[in-house]
Amino acid sequence: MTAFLVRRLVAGVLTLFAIATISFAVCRFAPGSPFTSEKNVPAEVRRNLERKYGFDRPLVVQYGIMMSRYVRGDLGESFQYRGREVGELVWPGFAVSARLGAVAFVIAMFFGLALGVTASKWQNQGPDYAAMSTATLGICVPNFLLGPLLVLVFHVWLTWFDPTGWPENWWTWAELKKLVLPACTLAFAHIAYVSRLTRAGMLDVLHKDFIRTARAKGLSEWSVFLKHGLKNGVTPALTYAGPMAAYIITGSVVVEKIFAIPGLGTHFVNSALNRDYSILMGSILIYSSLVIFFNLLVDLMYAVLDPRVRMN
Amino acid sequence: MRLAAVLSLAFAIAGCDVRAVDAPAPAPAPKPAADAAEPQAPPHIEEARKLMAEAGYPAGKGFPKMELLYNTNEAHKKIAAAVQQMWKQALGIDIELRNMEWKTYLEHLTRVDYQAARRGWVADYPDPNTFLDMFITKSGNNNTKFSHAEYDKLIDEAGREKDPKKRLKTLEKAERILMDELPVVPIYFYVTQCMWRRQTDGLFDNALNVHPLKEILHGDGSKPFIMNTGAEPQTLDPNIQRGVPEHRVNINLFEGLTVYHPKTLDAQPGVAESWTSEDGRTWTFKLRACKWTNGRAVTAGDFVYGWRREIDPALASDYAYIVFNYIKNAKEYYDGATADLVLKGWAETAADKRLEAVAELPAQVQKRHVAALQKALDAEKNEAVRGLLSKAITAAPDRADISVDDVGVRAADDRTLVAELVAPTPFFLYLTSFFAYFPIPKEAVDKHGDRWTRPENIVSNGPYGMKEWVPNSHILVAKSPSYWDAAKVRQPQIKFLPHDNVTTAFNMFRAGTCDYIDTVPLEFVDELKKDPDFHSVPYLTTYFYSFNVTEKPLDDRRVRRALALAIEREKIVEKLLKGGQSPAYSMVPPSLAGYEAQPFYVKPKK
Repeated sequence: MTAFLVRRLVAGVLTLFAIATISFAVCRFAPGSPFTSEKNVPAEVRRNLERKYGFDRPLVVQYGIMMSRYVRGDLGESFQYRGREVGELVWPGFAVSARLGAVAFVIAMFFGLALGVTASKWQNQGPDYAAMSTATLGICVPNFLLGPLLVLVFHVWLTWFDPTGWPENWWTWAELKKLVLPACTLAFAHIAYVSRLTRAGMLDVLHKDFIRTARAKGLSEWSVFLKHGLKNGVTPALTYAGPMAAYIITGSVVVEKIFAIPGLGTHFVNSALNRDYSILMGSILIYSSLVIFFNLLVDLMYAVLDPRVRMN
Repeated sequence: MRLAAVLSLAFAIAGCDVRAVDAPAPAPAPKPAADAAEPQAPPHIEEARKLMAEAGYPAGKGFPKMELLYNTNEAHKKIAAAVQQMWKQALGIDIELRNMEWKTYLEHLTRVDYQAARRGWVADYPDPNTFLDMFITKSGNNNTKFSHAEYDKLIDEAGREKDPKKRLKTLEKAERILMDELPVVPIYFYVTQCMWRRQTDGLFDNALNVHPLKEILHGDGSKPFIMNTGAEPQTLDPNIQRGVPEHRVNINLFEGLTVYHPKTLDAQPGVAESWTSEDGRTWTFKLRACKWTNGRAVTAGDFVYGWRREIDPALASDYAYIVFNYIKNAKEYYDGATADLVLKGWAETAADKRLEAVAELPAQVQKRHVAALQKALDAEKNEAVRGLLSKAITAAPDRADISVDDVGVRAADDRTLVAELVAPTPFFLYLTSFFAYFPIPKEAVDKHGDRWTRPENIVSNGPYGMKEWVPNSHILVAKSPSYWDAAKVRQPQIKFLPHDNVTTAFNMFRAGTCDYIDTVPLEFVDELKKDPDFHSVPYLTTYFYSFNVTEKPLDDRRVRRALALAIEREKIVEKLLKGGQSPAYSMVPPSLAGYEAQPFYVKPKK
């Protein structure tokens, strides 16, 4: 088990290294620079700016400096926000995205499971069709459409929720309800996946022999369904949780823009547009670490559940 | 994002309706110019066709491939498509549209790697000069390869002229040349479309859309006034800031010698209670007794420090030029100190970057650099670099060493500041209201370095002091008790928001979670025109098309004029933009007092 973990960790670090290298190359070969603007500064002023940030050094040297900083855990200095370190911008952003993601995760899991279970209980009946249509809709409607739609319905028409914002505290409903629309927007597609997986899992289990045995023993239908069916039927949905967590956190870019949430996605988009390479690289590294981490988590889960995985 | 970038973003009119433009009539075969009897064609189209024929492209025949470049944005796209169609209908030419992402577009613009391109220019200060001096040969913002000796001379002359009336006349002459040559074709003048509520007292419409918030009161003042600035401030260091969002915040945190009048933008006494200048060249400012938020008195020395810091090449401030273009010896100091930097870092400069690094060196070096230049030359192999280095060595001995002490700003005593300018500058008092000329608290910079503007470190001297700064979330400022005119400050707290999404900001305004927005989604403009909270005000910004005047077919003045004439500006303004913008026939907006804008064409009265 330890060997497995070490192997995966080393692979993870190597992947990060490759990602950093490729991103660096892509950034530097993209046209434009952090220091261009519509109002051109005199050439000598721009040169001074480039000099200040080491852009006059050979690319290899710049790459080396950057990598040695990353090894020390230092994400460097922003080009766009002068005098600010990348870390102090992206980590709070990450904290925001992670909290939004956590809420969305809970929503997706709860409603996904509920819908999936409902659908399987009444397979090919009204509730099943209703639940699965919702799921299909969730997969089809992209979040850049869903977000504004929710704003239209719940803010403009019903005036239940604010259109934008981020809670200033987490203990009053007035603040907390700012999360509802963005978290639901983010969760919707995943509700769909989770419910479909749950439905399939449940149906699979409900046709198993031991369920028939349970029924034959004279257990009540609900007891059979909840106690024996549910316990085994939700496993596929749970294994989806790992990738889903990664999708949710990395997928909040659009949702953050629509709802004006100060998360990592906002930094990611703005830094790409402004060629703020250091923030861009920082966000990329955080995002990729997350994906690597959650993949590792899933693998570990499998390894715990199924010893055969550990052997390979 | 800089000033202009932010503004073009803010005023990028998202989602205007292209269907509102006249549907293309099944293009009638454009008549050759000879067919002047064509009764319907208005005179400007007639003239345009004639010019095209003279240039050798009758009815567009033989017109070379031409591309119109714009940065990706709905409004630019729709305007470009409309212009493309107008040119096709009027002149029979087919041009291609090309859109590029912002930074890529800027790169093409700067390198003049385009034929025709969309651009916009926001006034740096309310004076025609800001729209004109950018087209002199040496300007970094020319971007057209337009070079006209007489034009350069007139701009230079205007810069030295003492008599304000004569100066404006000289600038008019220059604009006349620009509008005859047409390296740039004006299209329309912007308006600002901001919203604030009736219960906010003390906010005014003005031509630069800057709002000093010193005397406002929002409701009964119990809640903060919430202003959306359009983007997260990149810094709050007045020496480094460059965009509108920073400007919106910092004119309330800091105060210069003078401040903008909230309505007219005229210079009002700020830290300076009075000033005198005999010749417009030497200015003496008498400072009032006032304090920084740390309790220390604001002195003339703080201004000297701030101005010098602005032009320290090691700080690499974008707006250094707004100081060194006007203050005596400042440019010489900046150049010399830049050469110091170049030569100091010479050993580490990449071989392939050296040519770029020395490009300006011959113009920058001073006496003291000879030895270092010689050393660099001895070790250099690249011929082109060697050539520039030798040129620098020849030039250096003739140039006096200019140190920071020679720069034309000094403290006669703690409360008297003397500024010496390169030339009489009638708009100098606008500059002293500008952030590049703010005083800077040296002790804070010395103690905290580039972290001195952090909320826990910042020391400022304006009507408001920093309370909270949460990046990408908000900045909260509160009335500063140490401010000299605190009695006049009525609003206890102001909150600045950084949202760049127009629709999001507009939603917040309507939901009451924001009290000021500086742009609205275009689809709402019609509806909002009746709303008393909506303010649409002419704005000192010109939207124009820019030509690379060295490439065929745009090297021909007649072609440029024909293209300029064939754009139906009224249609673009009334049917596409619909927000009260006005058609532009001159580069300088006509609203500047005492200046007569020089249109390239005057429509005959009906």
